[in-house]
Amino acid sequence: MAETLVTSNGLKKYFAGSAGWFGKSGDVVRAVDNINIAIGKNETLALVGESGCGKSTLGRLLINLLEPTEGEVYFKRQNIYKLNPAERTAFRKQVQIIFQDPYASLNPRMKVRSIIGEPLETHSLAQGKEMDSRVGELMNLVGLEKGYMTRYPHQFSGGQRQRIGIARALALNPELLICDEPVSALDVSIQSQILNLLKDLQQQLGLTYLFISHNLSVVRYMANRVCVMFLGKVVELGSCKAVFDQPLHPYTQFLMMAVPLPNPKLRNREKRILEGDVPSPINPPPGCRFHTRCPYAKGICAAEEPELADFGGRQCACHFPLG
Amino acid sequence: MPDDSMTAQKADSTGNQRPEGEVMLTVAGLKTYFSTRQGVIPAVDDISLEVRRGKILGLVGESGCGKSITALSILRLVPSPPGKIIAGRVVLDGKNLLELTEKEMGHIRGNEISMIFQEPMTSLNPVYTVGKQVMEALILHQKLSKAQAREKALAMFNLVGIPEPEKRIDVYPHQLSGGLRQRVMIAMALSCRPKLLIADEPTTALDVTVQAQILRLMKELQEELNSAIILITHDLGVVAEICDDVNVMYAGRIVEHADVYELFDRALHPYTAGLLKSLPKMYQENERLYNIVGMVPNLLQLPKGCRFHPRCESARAICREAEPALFETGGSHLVRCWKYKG
Repeated sequence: MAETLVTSNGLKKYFAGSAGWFGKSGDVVRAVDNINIAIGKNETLALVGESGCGKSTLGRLLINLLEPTEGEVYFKRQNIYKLNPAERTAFRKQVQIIFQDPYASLNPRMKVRSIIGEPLETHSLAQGKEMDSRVGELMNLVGLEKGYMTRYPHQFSGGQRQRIGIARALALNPELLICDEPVSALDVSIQSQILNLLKDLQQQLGLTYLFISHNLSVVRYMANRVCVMFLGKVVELGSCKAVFDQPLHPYTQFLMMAVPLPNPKLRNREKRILEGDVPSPINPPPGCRFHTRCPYAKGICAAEEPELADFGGRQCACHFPLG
Repeated sequence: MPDDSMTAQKADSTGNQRPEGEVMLTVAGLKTYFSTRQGVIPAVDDISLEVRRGKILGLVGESGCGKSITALSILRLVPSPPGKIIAGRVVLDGKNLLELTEKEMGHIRGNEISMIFQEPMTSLNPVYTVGKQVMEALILHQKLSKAQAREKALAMFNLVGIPEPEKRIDVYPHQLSGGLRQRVMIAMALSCRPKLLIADEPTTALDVTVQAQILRLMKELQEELNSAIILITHDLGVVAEICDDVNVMYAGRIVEHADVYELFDRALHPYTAGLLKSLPKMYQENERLYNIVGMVPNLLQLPKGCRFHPRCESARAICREAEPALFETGGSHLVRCWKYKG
């Protein structure tokens, strides 16, 4: 990894259940529980895991859309939770986010010009003719005709809306983009268009991506490194090639084995299927959080939580790593 | 996983002991159109397909291609207005379902054909226990007493692998995880031992490890009960994993039909081939992904000629002029593309 852009240090985010009708008071969801990761400049780090593992929460913590319960995040060696107002404004320009649902993330009452131009306006960077020309540039960049500037979101297809969301995120020339399931809501034929666009933009603009996804094939295509999460913890972290070729953590292995492959000749491949459901993050099991579903678990796994340890350039948190 | 009581019933269930591979459901020339203020939408436009006993038929395509409306049309559940089945036949073991009275159709639904949907939370009633909802179908269709229905519901919960069924039968849907809810839906759908199960994106809302469990369960039950399944999905991985035959749909039409091995080996339609090429591979370094250019046409303004031609790299003059039929290319492989006109 070249230069590091973002580092998290003992990052935790607990959500307290509210006392009241449904939630029992005192329930605490440990969505992100002591995470240390670093993202290098110009790389794509993928966050994978099943629903509720904390991947979206982590993404939001890294750009200060959420306040952590504990821990720090450094962006270019600055603690992003301790910025003065001027520094915060500068920081906001450098990090942006693309959301999963292109139907919910664009205001239906705003024209495309105002949607893409809003960040420019907020930061008083452009207005009038200048803004039009910048919005036009951005639309060209993401493969939209700039003549569509005066249209509303509902006049676009899902793929085009996602392009609008990307253009908006790029308006301020950010360095870091959080891509939160950017293609999950899109059809297959549109998905590859958007993935290729994101790759091109990264090269062209020198962007850094945190790519959150549950789709492992997409992750393999997009990312340099992959970070596998389970119930708020990082269980494995390493280069895509290393992790996909030979996973060390049993959870990673099961996750990969569960992916249906588009080749019927492989349908009878060795396939072991994880039983049961993901345990609740409210009262995660003691010891290793995966031990209740892990076929290799032994006594120590229920008693002692494994640390994320180094294995020749990659990391894994397991008492009995595979391989 | 299935217990003895279920296996014993296998013999007496209607029709399911007939030979595997025999055609049990034929859809011929089905057209379901929707009238809107902007015009008539041909959501399903002249679809023909065959479902074979003991086999899983995949219906694949992207949003808006008409795969779900085809399923709803088979069950005559298309909301009308605005939708209307304007032509075609849906023949289940000799009976044309489109000619039945609403009362007769009510007997077919649940008893002979049942359906499971993508989102188990919205298709279960939140104010009744899951047991009550499974029992309701049994009491209604099989005229069982409450006690018998409860016993049968427990057996079904066992069959679909719900742990501690005696406890789970009395809980409400929100108390179950997504995977368990989908198992309840499957238990409900199979409780009256239908000949045909229509599963519309049954695993799309589930996590990948749970998806694997549900797919395995559906395959096991289908083999165990020798029933047929129409599996509607947009996920070519899921198709490759459990289907026997596949129909690929595009803009209201079937564009390719083949045996699953044949389809993945030798996809002929440029759309099918393009979809397969645009999937990232999990176990190898990927070259740049292939793109199908453009997007699905608006069904209100369908292009003249082949509906795929504006996105097709090998489009020729004829493709812009006339729409191709489904041409036979040997065996049961059919493709709607001028390149393969005999």
